[in-house]
Amino acid sequence: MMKSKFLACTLASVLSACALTSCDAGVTYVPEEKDDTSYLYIQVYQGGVGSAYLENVGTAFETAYNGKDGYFAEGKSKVDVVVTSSTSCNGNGLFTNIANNNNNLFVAEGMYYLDLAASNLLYDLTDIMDDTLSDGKTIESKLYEDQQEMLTVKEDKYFSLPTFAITTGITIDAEILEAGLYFADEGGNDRLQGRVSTYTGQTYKGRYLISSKTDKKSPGPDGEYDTYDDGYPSTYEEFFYLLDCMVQSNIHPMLFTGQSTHYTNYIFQSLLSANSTKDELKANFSFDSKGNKVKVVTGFEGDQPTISEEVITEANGYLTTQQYNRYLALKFLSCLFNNKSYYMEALGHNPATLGNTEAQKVYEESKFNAANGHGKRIAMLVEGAYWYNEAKGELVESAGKFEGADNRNFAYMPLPSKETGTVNEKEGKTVALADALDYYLVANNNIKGNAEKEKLVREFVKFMYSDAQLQNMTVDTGIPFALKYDLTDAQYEGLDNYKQSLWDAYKYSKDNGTYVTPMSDSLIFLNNTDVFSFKTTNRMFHSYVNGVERNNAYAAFTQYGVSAKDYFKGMWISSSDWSSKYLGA
Amino acid sequence: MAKAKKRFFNKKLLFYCCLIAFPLLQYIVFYIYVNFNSIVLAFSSYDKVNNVSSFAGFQNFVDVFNEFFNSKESVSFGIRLKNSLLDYLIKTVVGTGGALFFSYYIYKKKLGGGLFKVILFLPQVIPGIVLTSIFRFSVDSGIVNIYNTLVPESSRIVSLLSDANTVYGTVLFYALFISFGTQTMMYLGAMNKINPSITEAGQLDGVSYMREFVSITLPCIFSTIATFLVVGLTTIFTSDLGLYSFFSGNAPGEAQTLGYYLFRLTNGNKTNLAEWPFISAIGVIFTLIVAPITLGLRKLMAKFDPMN
Repeated sequence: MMKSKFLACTLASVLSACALTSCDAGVTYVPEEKDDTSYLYIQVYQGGVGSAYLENVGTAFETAYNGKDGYFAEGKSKVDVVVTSSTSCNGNGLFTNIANNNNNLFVAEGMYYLDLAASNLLYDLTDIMDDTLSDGKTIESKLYEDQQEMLTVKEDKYFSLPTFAITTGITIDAEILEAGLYFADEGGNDRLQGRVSTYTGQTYKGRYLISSKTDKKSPGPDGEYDTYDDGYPSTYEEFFYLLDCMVQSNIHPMLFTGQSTHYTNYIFQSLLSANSTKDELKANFSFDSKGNKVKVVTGFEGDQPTISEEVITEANGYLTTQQYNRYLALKFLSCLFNNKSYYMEALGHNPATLGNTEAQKVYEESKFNAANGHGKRIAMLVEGAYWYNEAKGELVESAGKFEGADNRNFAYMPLPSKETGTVNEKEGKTVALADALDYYLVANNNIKGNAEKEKLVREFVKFMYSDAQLQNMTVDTGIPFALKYDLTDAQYEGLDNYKQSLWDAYKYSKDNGTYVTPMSDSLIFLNNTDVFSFKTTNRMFHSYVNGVERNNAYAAFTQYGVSAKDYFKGMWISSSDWSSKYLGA
Repeated sequence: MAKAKKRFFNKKLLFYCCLIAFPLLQYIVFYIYVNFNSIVLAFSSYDKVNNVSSFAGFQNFVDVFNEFFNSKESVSFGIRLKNSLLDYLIKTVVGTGGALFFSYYIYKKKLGGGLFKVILFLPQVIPGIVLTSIFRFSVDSGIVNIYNTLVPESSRIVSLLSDANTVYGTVLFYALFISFGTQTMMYLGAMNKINPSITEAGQLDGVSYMREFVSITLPCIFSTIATFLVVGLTTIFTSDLGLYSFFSGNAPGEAQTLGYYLFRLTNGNKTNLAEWPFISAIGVIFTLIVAPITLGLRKLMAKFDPMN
């Protein structure tokens, strides 16, 4: 009897313990620690960017600090940086488990640092912000002004630092453009022979295409020659002309995952970056256009929008949802999605089952499959800048399988900024590039009081944010960091074509002062990040058409027959809603 | 000989305490604390920058009222409410009704009954996410492909889950399918407990299967049916029909339920403490509506229980 009671009690205790410990508390299991070594544990988000870039920084850090007796702790002369990755290394996951997590540093996706800092979960990094780094600069000097404002909301302290500038939009197989599909500067070849414009329904008023590789290309959307966007369509009208030429040339224009249709909002994001100035785009998150007037739609007369120009402040922040730029982007998307010949064939018979990594494979292999008589070559892929890393395995496999599959001429595609006609020299605008995945570095506040860990974290962050390591990480991942730094010519030349195109777009935006951090110090934004943040799944891109919620323009246009005008109007926040829900909050 | 004084805290009590400690702790943490905290939150507002909570009176309830009845969400709220009620109604009529007939069929050991038992139990042992993926695959391609080969090109559809006309029906079917096995097994268990002498007496009197089902079986398992109906009522505001598994935060407007709306709102603001008071106020309002109805139904069921 006693025996069975003892057994029952033991069993109950074991089961209870199992139940209590079964949750993922972010614990990383690592080899046994050695007495002469200081350990720094870092967790990164397990996603397209990978973790190799940080392992390399870790190795360099170990090399720099190994042998420094007692530098981090008495009796310790070695450093070991342990990097692991986890899918729970994001804002939500860390909010739940960071307090009991034995990692010291995190590079997390979807991070709204204030949510964690408010609960005292993040370590204060302020002290190191103006320390001189090995490159003679400070971390703070590498931050953009809007980053500094946003990151010091709580007590004027830094609890987080920006990492990758992961932009989204369209990747193009530039090899296809080189075969006569770039826009020519003058004259050019009208492949469609006077056909009316698909976008305007009237006589085409854009430029024509180059006849040979040596033809001078148009200045592109930015209106400047000899920049990264030369020869790309500068207006929506030209973009659809290009798509029509592709269809005519038996090239399939575009592919995106059918399984996660919110990816189509990547085009929406990219269009907004292209057609907005920095202040216009930033106003979506700060509700402050810095005294500049922004075009807003106040109503419609038939299908024609009535436009007025307003200065956006928190008092009338609802007007950001009525920005004319959003309407233009929706008109573009309506024209794109309502012409199924541009994308449907590549999606195949079961579009809803095509996942994003499958789409990457279909896209990159289409060149070789088409050459072997299977299907058509696909020109564009709708993805985030991380895709090239995510598809690394596939790309390497293709390089081993097909000739000419090494370092393909993929490029991040700058989208047009204007609607009709063409952009001539000095008439264009620089893209207002914005990160869309909220990748930030944070340190665990549970290191507070542990002098060894605090010193390790501080020194590592300073090491990581030196120009040399920022450059190394950029070369490793191909994705720029959202900071002010440059690559050397040799580093740039060593990048793959796609990585070069990402750097080109970032550098151009950085150097022209148009890089946008899609967050702000506005309390309205900070208290309602699920409504206003620049995420494709968030309500910023949702619409209420006849009161029914629509999650993305693609589904609304193709499955529900919604017009661009109705989708746009459904995105508006009314003045009364703004006052009652946000302004007084 | 002096009688040994019986100690209050003896080994038997220790054993009892050991057994009850964990469920009690779970009840305190996951029920009492969570609900108490929700009620407190519903009357609070939170300043994220300074990490300070303050008393907000009924402001959060006013905000919820405005959100549901006086904003662009109003029509969506109506759709979600309609879908939630329809979900309960169909689950009650078709789900419970179907499960009762099916379990009776198995109970009577008719042809293939054992096989059906295994088939119905299978979904319960497959992880939910796997089942969702299998179902998604079949309605996105398998069934769609068959359908598309049978209809003219103009009537073809892309997917049952992305078609406005079929999405709600599809997720409702999924929810019914998922819960069908459990209900059937529970009813079957209850039926198997019916004293065989009662059914044998009925058979000797020459009752038909239908008469036996209505006059003997149903009254004998009434308490089990009542439990399902009462528990089902509590899911009106929580059932999401698997929408989050299928669509994450992007379920089509036509198919959304109140449970999905609440879950999505909570999940989207997992780290955003400033939104928690508003979400808590929704939860309190839903509880205030559903609690008295549930208690009323429970009383009504107890009153009409033929075995009482």
